[in-house]
Amino acid sequence: MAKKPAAKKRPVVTGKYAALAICLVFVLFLSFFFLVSLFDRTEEVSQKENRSLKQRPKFSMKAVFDGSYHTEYDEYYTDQFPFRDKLLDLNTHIQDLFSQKSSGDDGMVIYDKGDKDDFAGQSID
Amino acid sequence: MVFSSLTFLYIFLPLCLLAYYLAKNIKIKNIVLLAFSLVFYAVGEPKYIFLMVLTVLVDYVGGILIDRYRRTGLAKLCLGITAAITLGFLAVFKYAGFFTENVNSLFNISLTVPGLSLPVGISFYTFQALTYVIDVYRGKVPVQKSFYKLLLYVSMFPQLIAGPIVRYSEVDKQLSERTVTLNAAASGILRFSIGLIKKTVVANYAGKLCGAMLGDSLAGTSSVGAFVGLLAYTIQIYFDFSAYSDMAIGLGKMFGFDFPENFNYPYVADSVNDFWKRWHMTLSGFFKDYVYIPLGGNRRRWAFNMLLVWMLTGFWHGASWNYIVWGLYYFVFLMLEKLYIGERLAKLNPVIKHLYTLAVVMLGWAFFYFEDMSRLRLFFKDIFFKNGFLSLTDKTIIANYLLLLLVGIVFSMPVAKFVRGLCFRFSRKQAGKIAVGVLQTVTVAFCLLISTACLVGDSYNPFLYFRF
Repeated sequence: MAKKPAAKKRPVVTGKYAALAICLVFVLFLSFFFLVSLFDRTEEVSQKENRSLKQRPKFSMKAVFDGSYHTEYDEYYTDQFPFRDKLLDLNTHIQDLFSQKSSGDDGMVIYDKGDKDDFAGQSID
Repeated sequence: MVFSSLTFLYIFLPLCLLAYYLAKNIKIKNIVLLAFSLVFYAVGEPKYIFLMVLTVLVDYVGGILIDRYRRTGLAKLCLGITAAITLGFLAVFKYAGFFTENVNSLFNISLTVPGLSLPVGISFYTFQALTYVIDVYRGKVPVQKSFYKLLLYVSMFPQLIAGPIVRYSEVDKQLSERTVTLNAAASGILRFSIGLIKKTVVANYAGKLCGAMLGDSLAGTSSVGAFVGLLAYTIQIYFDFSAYSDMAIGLGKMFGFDFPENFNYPYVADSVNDFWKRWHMTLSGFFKDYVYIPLGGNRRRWAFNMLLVWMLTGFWHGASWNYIVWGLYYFVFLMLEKLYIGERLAKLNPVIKHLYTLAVVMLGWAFFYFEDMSRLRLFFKDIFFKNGFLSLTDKTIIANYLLLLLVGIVFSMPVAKFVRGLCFRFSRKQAGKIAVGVLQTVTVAFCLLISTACLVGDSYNPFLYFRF
């Protein structure tokens, strides 16, 4: 049990131009998605996923106070995020790299354990 | 609200940074930060925001009274009352359900169990508020006359919900005077981005692996499967929690604050004692300086003090018996090291020391993970070959998550520290400086892009420490 004082440390980013570049990248990233999502039009259906997308939730004080407005807004924002399809493709690559859930070596679909019951034939359609 | 959400990253944060940097002086900056912090808390917990403000109000008044009656008996009384009320809120909102359930089963009666949901961050902000009144009483910090500054200290959104537990004395001066340099802001951005990817990639995928092995039904998990599940949890909890601290510290830097470090590569500890100097350092520091030492520390009844501190440390993590068991488990090992095996351990081969520590820590996470004791028993049966050594399903799952396990293990070691050292060395020469700058910039862009993709594609991302 020891306590480290919050010492003033020298910044990890030492170069002046590096600092400028990092701040610029960050600001561009944040403002890009912020602005695009502000002016992007709302899609109703995702062709890619073959499902209807969440629409902007109705605002009401009740929904705000029971917290459901925020939850629904989160879902809506994620569903309507700019360049959603491109980002989903990227996500699939990451998934393949870290969990390879989409397909096995022999092209067979491999499920997580949660879905294992299907193999046992209990809930197979 | 959580850091690892698109609404935080691309709505809340840009607006907050914009308003903050447009603000002319420190007073307006403080008000901007306070307003955004309250919104940050309110969108997740609309009702409990009043509880938080009330807690701060109690401690604000308490601080002023303690200061007024300094050096009289009344000061101590004021401290006692303030601390009792502050802790009382925590007791009611976090532990009332647990206490009534246990009283019910003990005396075989049926009092109504209060169905209060846990206010997010209450365990953290309660402790922060306490450091203020206690340090005012001790004369370590001047009393804070301005309510909104104290409220800002407690509610500041970077550290509000899951630490680090920042002591008032650490930010007292920064509340009235702070500057942000370009390099500090850039370092904060780098830190934040790395924290974000640690959470969205490593912690979340480790969580999935852990869920696959130790989730719903433990029936059928093979020995190796159970072990890998526990390993995945070991990775998840570290990356999840330290990622949160990284993001908090990084955000703090963007606003000119210096928050204390919370983790120092805990899994390379070479004794259990060493582990607790590296894991959640602001929590163990709090218990040391505000509980253990006031109780008498090493001088008086130290064994009892240790027992109490570790029971409380466990209990702080959750209103359930398994956390108390987890705390006592560490008490046992710390006592063992201190009294019997410490000196012998120090002489051993480093490999054995590290293996011993890791084994203790991982087994500890089993107590931590299973809130339900019957499931813990099932887990132990699984790990001791109830369902065979390694089943085909488990083998496939492990093979799929191999890269994740590798990344988790490698980056639990001080790789980042090593790279940081290299960067400093290279930065002395002009060419090296440029290379390092490019590397850092690319890292930020890479982390943000990958994390955004993960957040768009994935709904699974709870912060573990939200429960505490």
